[in-house]
Amino acid sequence: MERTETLVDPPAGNGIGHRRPLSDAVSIDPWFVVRTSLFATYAVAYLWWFINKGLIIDRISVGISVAVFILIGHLGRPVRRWAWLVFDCACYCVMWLCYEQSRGWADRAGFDLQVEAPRNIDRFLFLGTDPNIWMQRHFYDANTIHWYDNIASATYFTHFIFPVIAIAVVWVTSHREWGRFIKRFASLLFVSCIMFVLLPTAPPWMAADRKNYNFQIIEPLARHTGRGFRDLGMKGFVNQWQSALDWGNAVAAMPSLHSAFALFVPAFFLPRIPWKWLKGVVLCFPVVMLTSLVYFGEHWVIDGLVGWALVGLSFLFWGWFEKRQLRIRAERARNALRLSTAAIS
Amino acid sequence: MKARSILLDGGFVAAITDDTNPLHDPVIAMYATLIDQYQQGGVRLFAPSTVLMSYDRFVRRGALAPIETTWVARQHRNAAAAIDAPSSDIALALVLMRRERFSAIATTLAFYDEFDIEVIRPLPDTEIDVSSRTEPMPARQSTGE
Repeated sequence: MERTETLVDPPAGNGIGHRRPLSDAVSIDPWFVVRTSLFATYAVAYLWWFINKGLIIDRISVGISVAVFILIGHLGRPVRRWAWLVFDCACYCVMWLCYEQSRGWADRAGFDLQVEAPRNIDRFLFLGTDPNIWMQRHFYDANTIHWYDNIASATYFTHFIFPVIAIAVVWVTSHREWGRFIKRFASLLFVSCIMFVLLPTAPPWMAADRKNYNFQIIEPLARHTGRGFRDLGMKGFVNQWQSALDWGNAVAAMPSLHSAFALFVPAFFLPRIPWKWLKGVVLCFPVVMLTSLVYFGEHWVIDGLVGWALVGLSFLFWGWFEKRQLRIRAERARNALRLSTAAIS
Repeated sequence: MKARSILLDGGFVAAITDDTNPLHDPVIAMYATLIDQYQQGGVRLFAPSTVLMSYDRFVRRGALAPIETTWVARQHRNAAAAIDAPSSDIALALVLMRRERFSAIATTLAFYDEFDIEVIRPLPDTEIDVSSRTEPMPARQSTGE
């Protein structure tokens, strides 16, 4: 007879409808109330700051705001959870430190700057057309800021917000999910940094710039990234972003981390979205991001496609690795149980 | 798909590892189904650190390999001390079920049936020939919903 498991009906005279809620027996964690109240306060404070002083962008302020969020999420947690937090923070800092250092390595390594290759690939993909030029010719108006300028600009600047929010939320809600997230994220950053060093690539605005650079391999492009966001009232945010550009690696176009992060965050949360239509809407976001990047002359199309490909590879690799771990553990248990069963018979 | 988290209580884990336990066979059969679901990513299996600590590394990495540790802290013990339950282990399991938000409990005890939680439990009179088992049947589960 091939029966395995069973289940138990409720005790006689105690039907399913009459079961006691667990909350009757176990009191609520008092720290849960404290955390919830503080999160609500945090949300109100953040909103007040956003309305009165603009969006937080500089790294120290972002670091402080995220740290406060994470500390609230850990209030009243066991000591072990705090120890994990310290370890996670150390890993997180090392990851970003390596990323920052890669800019210096890129300068010292001295690999040839790619200027024409990405343009040629884009032309091949679009049958001889330069997508950056085409988009600006058809949609850019120097004298008018259109609704799509606002959308494209806002989409561009989400790059500085969404991944940070996603990391903070996952950090607070589930340590395991944080591990899954950060493994994929760090792999993406690692491979991107290697590419920044080995394959320094001039972005379209640089390739078109006739004042400061002498490439001139495409028609002049307007670099109007902040215009739409400034029009929405985010002046401080845009100004800080422009000063931050002075410190950035200008030839780190390949791959586009903007495109990569825009796909990464939705892709990570996609399995948790129950509705197909919403999944479809969410997956439009990376497409809008890449379109915006091309429109602003910030990236070639191929930069974005490579960024997406790296996200895909990162998810595929870690997905395969995690499934392998599950299989190995399951096999270990099965093998041990077979021994045990054999001993009985 | 979000994996369901299932807490395995001390009695259930003991029945897995102890082949002289009268519930060993039905529990092993149920555990085999859980392992299949675990490998497919449908469930995550947990046991309290207080339970797993009593097993050596060989067992932990063998028969109990799919089971993750849910760490019992002082705050869990304090909350458990305030609960009227037949034993401190049961009280602790109830605290972990609520505070760590497990979807279900796998147990050998009938005590948990009185609560509005999903209980996975073998019937004591189940006749199972584990050695001849080829493909486990999906678990029937009683839900409190």
